[in-house]
Amino acid sequence: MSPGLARAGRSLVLGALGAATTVLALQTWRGLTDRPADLVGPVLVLALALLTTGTALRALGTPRVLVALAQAGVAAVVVVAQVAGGPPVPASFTVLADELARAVENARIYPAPVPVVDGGLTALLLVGAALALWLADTVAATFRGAPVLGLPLLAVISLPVTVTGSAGPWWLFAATAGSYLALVAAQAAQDVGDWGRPASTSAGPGAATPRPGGPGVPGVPVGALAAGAVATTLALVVPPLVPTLDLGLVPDGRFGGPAGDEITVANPVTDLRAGLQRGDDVPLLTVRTDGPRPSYLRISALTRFNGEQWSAGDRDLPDDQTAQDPVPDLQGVSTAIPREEHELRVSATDDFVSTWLPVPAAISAVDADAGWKYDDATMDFIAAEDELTTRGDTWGATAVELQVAAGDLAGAAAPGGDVDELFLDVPADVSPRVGDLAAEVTAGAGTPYERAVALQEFLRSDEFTYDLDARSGTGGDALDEFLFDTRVGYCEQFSAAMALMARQVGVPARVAVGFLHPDRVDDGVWEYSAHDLHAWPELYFRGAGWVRFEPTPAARTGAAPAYSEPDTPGSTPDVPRPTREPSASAPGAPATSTGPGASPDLPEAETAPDAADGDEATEPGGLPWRVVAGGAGALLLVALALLPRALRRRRADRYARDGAEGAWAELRAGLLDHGVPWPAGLTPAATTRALVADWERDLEAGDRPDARPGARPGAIVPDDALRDLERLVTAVERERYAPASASASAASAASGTADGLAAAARRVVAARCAGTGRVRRALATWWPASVLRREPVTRTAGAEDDERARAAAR
Amino acid sequence: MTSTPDHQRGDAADLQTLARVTARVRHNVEKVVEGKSEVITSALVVLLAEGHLLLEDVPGVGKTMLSKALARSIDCTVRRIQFTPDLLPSDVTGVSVFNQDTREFEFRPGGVFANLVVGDEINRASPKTQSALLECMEERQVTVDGTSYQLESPFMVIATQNPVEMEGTYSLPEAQRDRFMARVSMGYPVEAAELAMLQHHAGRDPLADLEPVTDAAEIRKLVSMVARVYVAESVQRYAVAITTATRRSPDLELGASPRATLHLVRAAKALAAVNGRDFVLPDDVASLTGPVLAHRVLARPDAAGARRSSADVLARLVAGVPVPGRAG
Repeated sequence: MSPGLARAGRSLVLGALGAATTVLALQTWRGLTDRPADLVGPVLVLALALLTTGTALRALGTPRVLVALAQAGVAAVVVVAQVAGGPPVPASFTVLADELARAVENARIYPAPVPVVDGGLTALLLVGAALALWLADTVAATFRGAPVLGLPLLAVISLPVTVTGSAGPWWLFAATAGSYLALVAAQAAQDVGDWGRPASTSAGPGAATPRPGGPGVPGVPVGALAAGAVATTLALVVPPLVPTLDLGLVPDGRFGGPAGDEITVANPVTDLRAGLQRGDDVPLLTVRTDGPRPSYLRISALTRFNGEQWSAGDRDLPDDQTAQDPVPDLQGVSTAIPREEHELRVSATDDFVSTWLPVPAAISAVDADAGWKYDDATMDFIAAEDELTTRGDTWGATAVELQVAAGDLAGAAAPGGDVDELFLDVPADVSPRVGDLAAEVTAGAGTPYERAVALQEFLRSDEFTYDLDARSGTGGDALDEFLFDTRVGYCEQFSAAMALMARQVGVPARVAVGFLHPDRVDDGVWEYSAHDLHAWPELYFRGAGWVRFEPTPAARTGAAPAYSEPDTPGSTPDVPRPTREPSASAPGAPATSTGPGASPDLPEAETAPDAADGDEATEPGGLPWRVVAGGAGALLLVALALLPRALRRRRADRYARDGAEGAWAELRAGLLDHGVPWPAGLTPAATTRALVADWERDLEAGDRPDARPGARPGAIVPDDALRDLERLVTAVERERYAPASASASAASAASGTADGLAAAARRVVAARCAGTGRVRRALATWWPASVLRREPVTRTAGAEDDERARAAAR
Repeated sequence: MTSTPDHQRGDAADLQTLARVTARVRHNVEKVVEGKSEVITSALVVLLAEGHLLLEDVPGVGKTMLSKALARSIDCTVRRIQFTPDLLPSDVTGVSVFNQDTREFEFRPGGVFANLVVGDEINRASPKTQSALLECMEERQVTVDGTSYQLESPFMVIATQNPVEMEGTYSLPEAQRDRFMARVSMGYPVEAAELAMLQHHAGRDPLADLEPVTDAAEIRKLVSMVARVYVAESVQRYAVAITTATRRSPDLELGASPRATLHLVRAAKALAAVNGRDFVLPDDVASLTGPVLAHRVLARPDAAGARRSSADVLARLVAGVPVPGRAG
């Protein structure tokens, strides 16, 4: 095989593995868009184009920087062709730039998975994938730095984690890790293969041909692969057992959940889902009030529905609408409706990071940082300054409790021009079945109020089931599935469905996202936690303003607001059934502060208080177990971390007592520890020649990017080290091949005591690895690679032959 | 073991002598044949291992010069036989001639009666004459008319031959090539060596200045020393494994004979001694597989078609045989 072809073959293997690993890692992005399948083709085309160009150029011996540049060009052409659908002319790049801008905008507007509307995220994802694949080929194949590829891969996998809080299924992570290990192993095997077999048989001309990757190559130690596999498995298995090590891959035994202890609210819908689905309930807000138990604390109102997603829509934030300015009168609320006001003081914990300010939906005053601004159409507060969030902040608000009665609503006229047309907007691509269903449900309902009540009754009926594990999403197929097929969902689906159908029957509606109801901490002190996150529809009625409805089943929310149930006036306690979400679904703390009927629109205050306590009671056994398991796991990890060093030391002691062979083994182990490859299968003399040749190569090529540690241009192999090496070789040759009496006498004569030899071996290792980086040195001390290799065993040439002969005879 | 046995101490001293003598001879020959120290070492190894050497190369690269220079460096009897198609077996072995004066047959020794016999262009002679020489080489004696005549000791034939593709040649059959302990090729000299040759040799015979640096008696002593070099069992097994591998290799039509194994180990002992060692390393064995085995094995036509010479196949085989000692 010609050197060019051999080189091409080797780079092809690395390039293909790098591309495969990256394509696998890119699969974690599937959750970012709702049509991930659309990306598979372009990504594969990109990978193939980069691999082909790279392999061809590398086979021709093109300088590496040029290869990388050429591939970047090819990637750009492919991306432009995919996105702009044309040749790489300036116009196409303009199209690409526009698409990118749109994708960035879409990413801002829509929560993941982003619908493929208006181009969706396609351009952005493709450019990202191109970058990742280009990096993979350049790093792994062109510069032969497979281990470094771990960083871009980490970035690829981190992206969906930061956006959706989920890195995809665990097996995808395992597959990516496996592929990455294979890549690193392949490169290591090729590096070892580079040694070939030195020209020990070269007495005749032409006998010495380098043999890249020949049968004598030992390959990558099985032990190293095993270590990689064990590490991967530990990463998957340990986190659920060890609370302190929760890396987010396996929260609470369920794969694909959100990460960290923090609730970040930038996109209300996704973050609502993330907060509800998280394993641990985390306190987020503390409310002090002089009034009754607070409830329904609103974070944001979602006004725009595009057929796929509810989003916050646009906000008009003039400079005179800060949280320090007076707030306008409640929109559309008649002064005839009796009201009560209570002061609230809200504090956010450090775990609650939101660019929306949670306040009651109806307020008459607010006292918060002037950076928070409101839109008078929605009355939600958004951070108008960079870096401004709720984290650790405290603010005040005066909540208005409207004593709305069913009668106030029943007579409400059609809204007319009270509210923006936006609140009645139904996208054309919503399935007509939904409209038909809304009409069917509200058939016979004369007024807007009756229609709203009918819709709420329909959704709260037994036909629907509350389940947090239901498919997420509020538009398109998810909506269809929820309304017509499974009828299983959680607040996100219920509220969105009601808001949409209300619009379809002519009632202005929006979806509010916020907190359901808090737990009591102390007198007048209440706490909202992550599992209290909730969504509900707000419908507009002239004279009553934006009125909250509660279509989410009683299992989660308790009774519906009294004004929304004309048939059951007053407040019939609605005992919640047990649900699948223990602490989240329970309607909170003992209702000590409010009696039945004290607050008609706070039905949860009247519900059975024991659920939460009961749940707590079942917990005690679990905590110690987790602590014990965590402690044991931590101890195990510490032991695992210390084990290699201990093993290596034991071996060093044994080597020191084992004469020349021991010194030779010590040399081998020491070099392997520092990442210097050991040419296997050679005689001692040939081994030494190969070691020295490699050493010289490293010293000469100190500026090569793939130079091993310790490379210093201009340096030469020190004479002392060469003398030590020669002594070691002579001693080991004597021990192996000279007559027993002669070797013993020679050993004593040549002052080659075993101890002196072991010291010589250590000196050689020290000289060879001088200038090694600190990390490498620490690794050699704490995680010596040699312990993962099989130890050398005595064998004779004939024995294996006989074995083969016997096998053949059978 | 604290004391060093006397005989071993003697061996060590002898080995030094051996190394010194061979170095001297090598140095002497190098005065004439420049830049070919590996070939010269092979020739010395064969001499000390009591083998015969086949020098194979195109005309004019110094085959004859090398053999003559080697012969000149040793103070011993040297005969040179120029092989031609009309050379008779009796020219090589000798012939009984009727002496008119004594009225008796008397033996007139042929060309092989010398310590060093240089057989030039052996492949130009008829097969009959070739086999006469080869028989002498093996048996170290000549039998004419029922009487055996012992050949001298040391006895070494350095035969040169042109590659068989050349015109007017009879290639040596495999069985006869097997009699030669080693075959080496001279190869073209590197440019610097060729230039030096022009400068030194222009106009006069370089051999004329060559003085002998040792003699037959000393060589006999060295040969007996080589026989005492130690070969560990593991190394013996290694040599056997290599020759066994040639017999099993799918790339070779004909593997190495048991005689080849014998020659391999003997040559390895000589090489070890030349390097001043009283024991054989696997490296010695491995480095000699090319010269000692390549001319005895026959690459399969398909292997030859893939442009792999016997030497290449051998090199691959040797690389695949595990080295004795601890693996790793």
